[in-house]
Amino acid sequence: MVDSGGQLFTIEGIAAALIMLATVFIIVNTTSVYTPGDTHINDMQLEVIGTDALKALNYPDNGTSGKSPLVILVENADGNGFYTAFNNSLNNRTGDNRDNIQFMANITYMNRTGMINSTPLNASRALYGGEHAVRVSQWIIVDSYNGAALPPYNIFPECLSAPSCAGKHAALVEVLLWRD
Amino acid sequence: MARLSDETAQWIVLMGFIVSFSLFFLAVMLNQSTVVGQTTAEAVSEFPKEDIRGVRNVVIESMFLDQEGNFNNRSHVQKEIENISLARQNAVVYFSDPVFDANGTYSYYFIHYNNGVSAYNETWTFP
Amino acid sequence: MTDDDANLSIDFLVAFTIFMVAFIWVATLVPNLFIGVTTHEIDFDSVAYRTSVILAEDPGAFSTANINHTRWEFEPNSGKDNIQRFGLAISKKTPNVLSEIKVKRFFDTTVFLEEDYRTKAIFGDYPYRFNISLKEEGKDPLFVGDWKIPENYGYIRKQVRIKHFSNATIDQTDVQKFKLNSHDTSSLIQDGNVTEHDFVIQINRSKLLYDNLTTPVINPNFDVAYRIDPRTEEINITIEDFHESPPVGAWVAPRWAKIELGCVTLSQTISDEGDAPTQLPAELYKDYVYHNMVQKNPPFELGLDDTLSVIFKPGFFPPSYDSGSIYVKFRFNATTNFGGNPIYGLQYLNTSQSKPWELTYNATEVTQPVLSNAVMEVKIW
Repeated sequence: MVDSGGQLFTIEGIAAALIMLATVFIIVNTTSVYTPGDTHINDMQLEVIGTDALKALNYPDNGTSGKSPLVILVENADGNGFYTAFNNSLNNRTGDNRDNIQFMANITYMNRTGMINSTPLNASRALYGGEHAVRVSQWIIVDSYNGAALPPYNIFPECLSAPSCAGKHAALVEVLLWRD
Repeated sequence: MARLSDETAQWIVLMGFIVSFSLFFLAVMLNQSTVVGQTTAEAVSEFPKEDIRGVRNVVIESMFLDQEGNFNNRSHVQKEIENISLARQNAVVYFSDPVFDANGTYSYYFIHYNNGVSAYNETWTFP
Repeated sequence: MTDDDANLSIDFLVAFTIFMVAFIWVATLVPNLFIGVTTHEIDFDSVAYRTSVILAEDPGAFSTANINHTRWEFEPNSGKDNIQRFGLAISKKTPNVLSEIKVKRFFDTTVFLEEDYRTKAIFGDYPYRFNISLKEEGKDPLFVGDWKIPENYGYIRKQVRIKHFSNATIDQTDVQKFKLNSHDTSSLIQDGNVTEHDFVIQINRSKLLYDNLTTPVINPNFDVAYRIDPRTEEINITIEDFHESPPVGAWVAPRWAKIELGCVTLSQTISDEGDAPTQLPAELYKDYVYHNMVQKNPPFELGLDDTLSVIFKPGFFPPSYDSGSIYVKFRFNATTNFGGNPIYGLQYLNTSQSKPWELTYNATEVTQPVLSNAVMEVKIW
């Protein structure tokens, strides 16, 4: 005659053991999963580097001249000058090898009808899409009409050469940054 | 049916129960600790420190422009600042003309910034 | 007869249910458990970011021991424990613009040890290892910390600008501009005939610290980055062209005259109300006269084409006063020519009938402070 009393112990013991073993096995054997949230740290680093590079260009070289290098470059529509200055500022390191951050810069302004438009400034290469980019920006106040140049031009396209658009404008220099 | 000594068997279950709970507790600790680095970086990106500095500097600079001409002058530039800030930086910026004190030596500028998450108010004195 | 007793008791079922619930809960938490980082390594980037902001955007905390609130960069080596926090920026209003003096002091590893950097710049309970480096354009990089850097470290880079000192040169063109020797010709006192001439330079603290830099005011936001601050910066004034004749009618000592610098005295006023200046004691304020860029104390002779400079090192003047003026008085003797015969002259270096020569923000007189580019990297592990 089988005594069914002992089966209770056995079953409960085996059940408890199985549960504990399964839990330990699964916890210890897990492989790491890369969650997309990790890119926050890289984004933050890129944003800090980019903002500083742009901000350093926006301090006038000496106080009595009043215009920062960035304002001078934008007023002269000097895309190549901006590329050289900003690339130097952005990818400079204390060691010997340089960093490799790509960028694309626009100027955002308000046109005569009140619409917000952008005009490109320069880019290290074109955006193909799929790059994970961070945006940094810097405010400037520029004189948009350059009457001394031949032919006179206005850096905001809608105004072309119309001198009635001349005068001070507030603009935002926006740069997209990404690593290849 | 034979009466079993239920309590002895329940001890086994209870021990298994305790072990599982402690594993669960450790797992929760590990899970919370990995979020620390991530949320610090998020907090840095979330707070618009550079946006506020940029808007504040350009507003102060605009206060010293000439109010000449009927199109491109201080009021127009300030309107542009407010519109561009709203469109591109999702922030409402409000500032007023300076208020002078009784002697006329000091002027006070009030600057407000609000991007929905962070708000910034300043009274800037010049000189 | 079959035994139809249940093999599983009710409390076993309850216990098993609780197990299953906990088991499923842990199993769904598992993907989040290991993201490949341990506790310390998670915050390397955050600590690097915080340290870089403290260094580049904060001017540092004054030490509280001295009631005069010594700036941390002028704290002597013995008092380095009074420094609460390092900071390289000029002020909070100009983030990312660093002060040259603070940079030199911070990277001075003969004074500060690793532990100092940890408690005053990096903070935190864990003893992080660090490497902070700064490279200015055209100069060698400076660094503190460990050389060997492992694979996994927190990193941040900040592009900054460094403010340099101003300097001024007084030469023959100043005679014409300032009419330094203009005097009332109807008066019987003809200063040209006096053998001792006083030339005074005025460093007006109130004007330098509180005046507008440009007229009209363009952008007063960043004024601090371009100010000449006599309390904390090096002031460098050079005088030359002693024997030149300016194109204006009045002549300076001709090339055959012997010019000697007799003495230089310093005095200051501490308010703008027109009090008489009090002399600064010569034992404490000394060694600032340079003859042809070599330090030499007067009296000495000034030859043809020599230059005379006064260089006041950072922190030379009493730092607690921000109003009033500092006067540097040069006493020149021009008594004889090289042959020993008496002559009269030296109207060029004579301000006794006009105002003192003033150090101002006029760019044609004074080379204004410029900002140079630099990059700072912080690595923490």
